[in-house]
Amino acid sequence: VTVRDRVEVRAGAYHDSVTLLQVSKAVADVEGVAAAQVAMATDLNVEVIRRMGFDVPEDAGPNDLVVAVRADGDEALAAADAVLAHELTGGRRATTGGNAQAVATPRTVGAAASGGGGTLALVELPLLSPAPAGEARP
Amino acid sequence: VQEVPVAADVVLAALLAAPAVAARVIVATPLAAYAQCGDVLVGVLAPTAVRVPGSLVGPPHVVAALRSGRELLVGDGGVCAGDVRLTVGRWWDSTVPRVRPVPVVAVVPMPAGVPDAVSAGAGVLCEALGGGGSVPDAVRGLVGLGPGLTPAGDDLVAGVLVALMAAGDLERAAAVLDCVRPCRHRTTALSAALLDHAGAGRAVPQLVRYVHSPSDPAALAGLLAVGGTSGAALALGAQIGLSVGGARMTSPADREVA
Repeated sequence: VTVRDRVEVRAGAYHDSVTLLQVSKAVADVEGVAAAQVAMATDLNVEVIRRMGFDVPEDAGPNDLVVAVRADGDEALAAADAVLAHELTGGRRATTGGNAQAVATPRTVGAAASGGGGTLALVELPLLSPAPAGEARP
Repeated sequence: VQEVPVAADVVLAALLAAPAVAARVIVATPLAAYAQCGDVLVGVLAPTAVRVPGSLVGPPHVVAALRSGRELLVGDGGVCAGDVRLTVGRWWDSTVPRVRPVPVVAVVPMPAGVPDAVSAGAGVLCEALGGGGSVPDAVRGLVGLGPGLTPAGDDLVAGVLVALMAAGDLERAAAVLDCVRPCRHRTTALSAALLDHAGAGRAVPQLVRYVHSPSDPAALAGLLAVGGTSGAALALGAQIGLSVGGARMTSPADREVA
């Protein structure tokens, strides 16, 4: 069996750290795959991938995604490709749509009303203490 | 031209008021787009995205239309994207207020998923900030480390910077920032911009809350929910920054046990 290395640089592909860690693990778990790493091509990440023995193109930049897979033959490489494509498009994970940030709590009533499918609103008001004589309530 | 009101970080006020200049979207996700405008990265966020410093917050459909490579005009009072003009209806401020007294924090274990190398680098940076090593080497070993769009190593350094600024330890913050600047090209454009903001004391609201209330479980939970590993790395960095920044205080009155 011929060991095959494939290194691919993808521009404009963005995923959060957990997604990429999970993708790397899922691809590495494919039968016949000896090593896999999927990460943004920052200098330190490229150093790590090169230390794994991969030949990363010199023109890979920090804003590119680099995919490096080492597999025992074409069949295992194809299986790795299939898992990679599946995982990067959502896989089994509950996704936030590929955004790099978590979804935040709505900050305004308007945002809350437009953001969800709720049909019931609870409005909590502070309990006002009796106003001292001669003072108007706000 | 359709006018769309947005909420903008005040750090963008001068840029938006200046004559319009061209910008290009370089990062686009379903809830956020980031456009390079000269040396500045301008974010356009959906209301449900985490409120990243240096951003405008607008309707989701406007954000979704901002694909990578899209040309924008930034300035003359707003941002033009084709026949849509984003104009500022209100302002918000990503600046982290000074925290006093500086709380003493407990270092929580890093949640699973954060690269071991980042945890190790955190220890090295913490020791270096205490005088036990080289801060430039520690920072260089972290910036760009981690697989995602904002590598966990960068998030950790950003947390340190924000906490040091909030604690008023401007000397150490400047020392870290001096080490970060030469490393900007070693990481993603978005992460480099967020490090710039952190060095100027600006952060996502979840980190602001945590720096001011590190003993509040809800504040920590809110921060940990940010991104994939970003929140955890920011939290660890903030703990380091608060512990180091707080340690410089000599008066017990400047400290509290959280």
